[in-house]
Amino acid sequence: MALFRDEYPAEARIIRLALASSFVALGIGALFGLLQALNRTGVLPLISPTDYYTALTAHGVLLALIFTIFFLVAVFTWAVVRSLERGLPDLRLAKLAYGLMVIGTVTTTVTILGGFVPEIPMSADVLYTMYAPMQAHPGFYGGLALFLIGTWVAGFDWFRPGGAGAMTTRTSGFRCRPSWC
Amino acid sequence: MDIHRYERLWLAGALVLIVLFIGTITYGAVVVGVEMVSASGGTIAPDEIPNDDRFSDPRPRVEQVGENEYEAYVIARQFLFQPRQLRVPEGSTVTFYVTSPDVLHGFEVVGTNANMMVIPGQVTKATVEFEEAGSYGVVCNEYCGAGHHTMEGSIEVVPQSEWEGGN
Repeated sequence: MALFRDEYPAEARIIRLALASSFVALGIGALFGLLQALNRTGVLPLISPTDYYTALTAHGVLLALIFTIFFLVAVFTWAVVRSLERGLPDLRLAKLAYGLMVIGTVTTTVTILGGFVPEIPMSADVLYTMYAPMQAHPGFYGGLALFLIGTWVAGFDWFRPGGAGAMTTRTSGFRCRPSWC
Repeated sequence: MDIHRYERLWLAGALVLIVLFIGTITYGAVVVGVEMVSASGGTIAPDEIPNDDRFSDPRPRVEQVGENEYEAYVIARQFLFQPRQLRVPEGSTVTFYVTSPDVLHGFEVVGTNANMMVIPGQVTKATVEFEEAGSYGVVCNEYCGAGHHTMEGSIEVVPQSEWEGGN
């Protein structure tokens, strides 16, 4: 039986990128979690008290929002392509989705990390709950909005009609493919 | 239509969870009698708070409104409670009116089930019974900014014998 990455190389590449992005977010977010644990236990207080919520925001946003959704988009892309036995209808949309999510993540993360540098007039210490009317730098919300729209674009591409079948025929038997039904 | 066994299991599991969640809330509301804080406290424009009779007095304001009933007015703001400390007698029933001029805050009487969200523009009203004398901590439990963790107050529930009325 052919491997997924051989049948759908372009989709596999997008999935790998999305997974890699999710693990980068996991790594950075976890690092801030570790720093907080060291801080709160008094073992190694590296974060100054004024930066505590900056670190907490980075931790929450990168883990609860960015890591989970990037991972979800990757797994869902794989699951949809594999289940429907067809490639994504439009790879450009998948790339656009991934690009929007990356640009959004970078924008949001920069506004959060800006809180560590007093010289930069930028901060977003609003935690991942970001309850109004507390305010973060506009880039924080703009970035998250781009990220969100990226997930919509990705989702739109999963369920559109069309898309090419596998490059090799599966040996596991005939299944009804949408384009044949 | 053939649905894979695993998919059926997942669907059944999710449905059972939904039923359990709704059941828990129903049980809490009907059997245990958990009451949510309602909007009965009314609204107030944040910049009108200094001009409002209920909140303009900077001193602790606890008013006796019944034999053993009191009303207390509190402003929760970045990053303190005004007043910081309230005194009420043991065994009293106190109705709190809490509002915020800036962002969301919490008003939680530690160790009790008295826990309210303080919303700018809104007066949160909740009634609490203080059966036992002692010092009760009050904390803000909604993240409200850089000084959130320093935002605390207290309610001193004094024995009836030591209560000399008011603050």
